[in-house]
Amino acid sequence: MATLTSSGLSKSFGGLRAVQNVSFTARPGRILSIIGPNGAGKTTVFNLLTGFIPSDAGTVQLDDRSLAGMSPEDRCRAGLARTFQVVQPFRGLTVLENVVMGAMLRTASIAEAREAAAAVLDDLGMSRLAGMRAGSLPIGDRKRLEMAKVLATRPKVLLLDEVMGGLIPIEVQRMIAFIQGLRDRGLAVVVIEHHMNAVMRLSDEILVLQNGEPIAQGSPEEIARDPKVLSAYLGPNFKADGGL
Amino acid sequence: MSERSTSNPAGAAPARMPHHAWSIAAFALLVSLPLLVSDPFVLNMVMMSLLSAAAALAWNLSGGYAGQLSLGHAAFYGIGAYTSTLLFLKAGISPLLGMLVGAAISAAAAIVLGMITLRLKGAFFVMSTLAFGAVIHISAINFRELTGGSSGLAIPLQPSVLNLTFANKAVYVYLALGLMAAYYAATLLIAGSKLGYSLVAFRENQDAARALGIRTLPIRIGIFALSAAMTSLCGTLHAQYFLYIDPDSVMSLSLSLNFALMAIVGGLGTAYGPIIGAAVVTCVSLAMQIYLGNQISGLTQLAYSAIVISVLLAMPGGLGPGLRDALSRRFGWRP
Amino acid sequence: MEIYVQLALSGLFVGGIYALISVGLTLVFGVLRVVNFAHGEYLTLAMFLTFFMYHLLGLDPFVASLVVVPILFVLGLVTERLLVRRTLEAPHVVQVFVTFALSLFLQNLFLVLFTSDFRAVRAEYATAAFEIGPFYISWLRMVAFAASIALTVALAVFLKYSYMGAAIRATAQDRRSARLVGINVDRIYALTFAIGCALVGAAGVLLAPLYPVNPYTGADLILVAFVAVVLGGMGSIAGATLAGLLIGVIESFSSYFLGGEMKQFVYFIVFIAILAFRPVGFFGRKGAEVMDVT
Repeated sequence: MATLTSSGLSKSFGGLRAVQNVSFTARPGRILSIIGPNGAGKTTVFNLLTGFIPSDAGTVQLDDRSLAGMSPEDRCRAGLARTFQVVQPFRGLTVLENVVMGAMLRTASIAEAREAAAAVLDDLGMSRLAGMRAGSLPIGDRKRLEMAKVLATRPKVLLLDEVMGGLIPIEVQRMIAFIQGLRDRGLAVVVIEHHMNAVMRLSDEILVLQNGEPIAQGSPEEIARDPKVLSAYLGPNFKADGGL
Repeated sequence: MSERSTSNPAGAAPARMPHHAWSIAAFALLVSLPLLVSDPFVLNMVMMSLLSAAAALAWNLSGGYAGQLSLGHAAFYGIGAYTSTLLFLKAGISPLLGMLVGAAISAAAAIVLGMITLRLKGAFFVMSTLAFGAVIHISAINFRELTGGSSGLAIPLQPSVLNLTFANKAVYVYLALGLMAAYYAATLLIAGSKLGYSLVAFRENQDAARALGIRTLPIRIGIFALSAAMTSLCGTLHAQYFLYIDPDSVMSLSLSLNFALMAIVGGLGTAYGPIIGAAVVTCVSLAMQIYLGNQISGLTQLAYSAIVISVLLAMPGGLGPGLRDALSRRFGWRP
Repeated sequence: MEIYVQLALSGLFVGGIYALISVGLTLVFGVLRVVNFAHGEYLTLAMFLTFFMYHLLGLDPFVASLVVVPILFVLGLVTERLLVRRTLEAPHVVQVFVTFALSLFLQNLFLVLFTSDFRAVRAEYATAAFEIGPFYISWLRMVAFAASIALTVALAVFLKYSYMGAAIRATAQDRRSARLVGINVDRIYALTFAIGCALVGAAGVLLAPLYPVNPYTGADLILVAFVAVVLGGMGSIAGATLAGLLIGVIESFSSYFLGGEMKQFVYFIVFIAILAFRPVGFFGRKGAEVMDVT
């Protein structure tokens, strides 16, 4: 298992400073949540970490290995995997084939990859969907498929971008339990989530971004009491009196 | 035993014929065809159909599985035809060797072209391959000292295996059939491998493929080169069959378009699609010839392009998968 | 020295018509995000129509344009409705090959109807020319050039200042937002495609007295337009105009120095070079052309 360390990560688009000086450490067996209002730069952080967008400054390390200059595919091979907020299924393929695409990374044979993929689907309780076309799934199942594909690559560090968006409450409960299970298996998990209840229940640590800048970092309890966070979410006139 | 069939959810379907049995049956039919048919007109049509099916299979590896819609593949066909022919005419080198040299040159050209153009999106890639095809075509016309220009090159009829020249035209039909069968087998092999899956992943969703650790550019260039080399071999066979080549017959845009359309009409990204496509084209032109004769040029192509448009709009996946879906919906029958 | 100026002038005059062909193509791409590979066949059709009106009815090409251009406009509407619209949400391969097959269809339709013979409009003023100093200038070519530029400018003005033009530009920018602000995007697509066809129709009328036409004329000329459209930046009207003029000049020089057959060779090499080194062209919006695959 591995530790993901980011330090001083920054990115500007034209004049807009999308991400400024973001530093954090995601440790094995821990869940770190990144929260913040819309447009705070959360997804951009994921894009910088995974190399989908080149960063202007800062470093990303997996254990002692610098990921600088590596392509997204090579970062995934190194063990850093992500989901997309807007899910990216291979629409024309079946659910099983989708997951096989991820499982191929760790095996030379398609037959083995199919077995591994079936196991992942089983883990997520999706076995009965295996033969369905990914494009025909409802949103909740697409979110789970997004997870399944990525898990099949057997990542060490997992970046989850709003995997609970669009899920119904019962599905949220299951997803929380599932992510906790991943943590207990020793993965380092970084979560972007709008679902505040879930964040509070899941996180070991929370990083709050506003306008691309980190404004607070700490345990869920600390964050819930932080006046800067409250004003960021609820406006500067809101009087802090505890609780989110 | 008869109860068994009722346990099938669709009811009507009898025991399924395995996929391979169909392939073998079709293959056996094709093997016997040259023996049964003596009419040179029909034999020629069968030959062209098999040869273009082979070329369409080659195109489909890159165009179908990887979604790299090249309209420059005639250039590779032409390189194959011209390389083996020129080596034979100018240096007395056997076309058996010449065809390999041609395939190597085509693969090299594809690698260079691929490195330049495979990062281009959709229509931009199509146009760049179009331009490549045109450059090769124009070069063949204009470098007259080497290529003979528009008047083309003739290969003397000196039948021997080493010369890859045969007096009996049926031999070529078997060669084309062998080539097509080999390409079909290669397609099945690749489609079921990690390489094939990776190409499909890239075609379906590039970002998702990269996020899953699939390195796409090297394999895309690789499959483009393989496809080019395979197309090139078809070009050599074309030259040996006609014993005459000129730029318009082995390098024109319409030839590139033909390879692509056969694969697309039959079923893009399926192993049997290009073969179905080639069969459809052959049947259409045969029917047009029979009903209309040769008096009005263009009618065959007119009918063909109308069919292509209808297929694309009604069954975007091609005739093969389209009919298969229709059959399984209606009768629960999956060939 | 004089020969260079003469070559540049004649290249520029032809380039004006190339520009007009390219502008229609680039407009359709910019708004519908579809490359119309059958664009050249509409050019052929316009030239045939002009020829027959001249030949059968004795209509001067410039008078015929009043009929030909509206016909092309309507055909554009029909084509968009029957074919192009159905491909907009379809897989990429369908988009490319439906217009390609349409090109094949029209070519062969012309072949069946008109045979592959070349037909030329022989207007008596075709050879009329005047001289400025040492330069020899054909009236017809100059008028065709002026008309092409005037039409391109008219299009630019229409797009910039009319309500419809603004709606077209908005759709080109972002079709979803355009829909949200109440623009009927389907109608904009139809209108844009029809304008593209009308423009190439006008180019056909202007070309008819200059070039003989057969079913393949458009297919040959359209390759130039593709080069111009990519060189100018797909979707950019100013870019296509500039590139059209430039290609006319390149062609004129290369056919003088390298011979007529090599002129195509030269601009295809230019084309591949642009795609290799600067696929956004002069004024293209980045993002449409290159995948961010390393």
